[in-house]
Amino acid sequence: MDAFLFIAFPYLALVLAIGVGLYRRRARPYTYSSLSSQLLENRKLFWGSVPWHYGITLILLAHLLAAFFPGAAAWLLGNRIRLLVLELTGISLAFYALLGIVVLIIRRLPTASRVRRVTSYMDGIVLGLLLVQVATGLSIAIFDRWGSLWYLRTAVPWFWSLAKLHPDMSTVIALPAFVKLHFVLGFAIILLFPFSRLVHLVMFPVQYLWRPYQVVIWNRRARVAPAKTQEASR
Amino acid sequence: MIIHRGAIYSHRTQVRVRARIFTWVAAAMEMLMVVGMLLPRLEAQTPSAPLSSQPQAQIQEVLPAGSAARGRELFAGRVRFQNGGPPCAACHSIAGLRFPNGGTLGPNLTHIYNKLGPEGAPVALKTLFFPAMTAIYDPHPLTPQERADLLAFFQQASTEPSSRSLTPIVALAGFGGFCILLVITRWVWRGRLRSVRHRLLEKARAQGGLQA
Repeated sequence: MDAFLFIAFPYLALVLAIGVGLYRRRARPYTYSSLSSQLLENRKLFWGSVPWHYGITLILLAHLLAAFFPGAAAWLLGNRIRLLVLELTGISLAFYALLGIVVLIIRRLPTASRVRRVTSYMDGIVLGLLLVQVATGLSIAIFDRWGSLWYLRTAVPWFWSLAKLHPDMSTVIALPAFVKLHFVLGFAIILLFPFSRLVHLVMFPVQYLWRPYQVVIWNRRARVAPAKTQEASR
Repeated sequence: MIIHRGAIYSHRTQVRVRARIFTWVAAAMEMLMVVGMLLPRLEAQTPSAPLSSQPQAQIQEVLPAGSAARGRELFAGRVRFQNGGPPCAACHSIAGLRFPNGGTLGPNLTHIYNKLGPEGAPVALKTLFFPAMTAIYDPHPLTPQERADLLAFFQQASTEPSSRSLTPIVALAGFGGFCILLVITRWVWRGRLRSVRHRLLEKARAQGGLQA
């Protein structure tokens, strides 16, 4: 079972994510989005979308950068003050992302709401998986410290062994079941990437950095202070 | 013709798309089977003989004199292990370390010396036969001097009371950081465009022009 979860399943998830992802990009380019529902509901969306996206993007980047540059990460975490600051930043961001995903789920729950009408089953699965993933990550960060340090000696060598096509799961199989669940769910989310709204992850608008600027002109009168309005009406 | 998420596709395209997705899934399953066939070989390659089954006499050795102070530096990671092993504090806490102490993934090692005894502790440090540690330290074994230093530190720590758990402090500090993030969010987006319709309705109600 471990061999399936930690060797076969990651490869399956990655192959499908890249293969089907590229195929969907070619065959159905207009579905490469997350289908905005901002027009249908905007109030809760702010406290869902902003904390979720800022929180999860920074946490995901920390996971990826530490996996790509474990030496630099080990140096950075090699001092107790830096370790504490980085760990607490991570935990704060995890709480932030958790609030975001909970609000995003609550927003789609009422059965008669307009947002519920445009919610697919896959949206439900994605939201549920992300909630469990953030909750497990946060509790690992709090209760199984120091995750940032042991991640470099457990998950990172495992990732590299998978990348080098010489899979070795020995550093991860003896970890607590809760930690292993977090690893497997991570690859489950990668697996769902091409089949769900998660495809919008690779649609980051980097071309905005070099495209010509646009001037936005509001076609309405500038707001006038109330006192002045009263004077003018006299 | 059906309209799907803003794009128009014919039924034939839909069927073709579905067929291709099935092909991908089938290809992935096939790969899975190949990996499944290879796995027994991979497992056979990995050495699984537990070191703990070796007779203790072979493992027991005479260690050089150890320094508890140096052991503490090694434990905390301020002095690196010669062969590149990770510092103990990544996963373990122990009495005598400075704030914020070590990790909590593994057990607290304050009384480990008393628990394993003067004969068991050196063996445990040499073999590190604990399931989660074997794979990590096998390629990076501790040197006899490092083991002697750690042993001296363990012996010293075992006389002290267990260190207090920092979990509530870490959780609270993280939650405090989260509250700061909320305040920052509110401040940064204070000028955002809020729902226009709600404001219009509230205004109309206030003027008595709309029955609730």
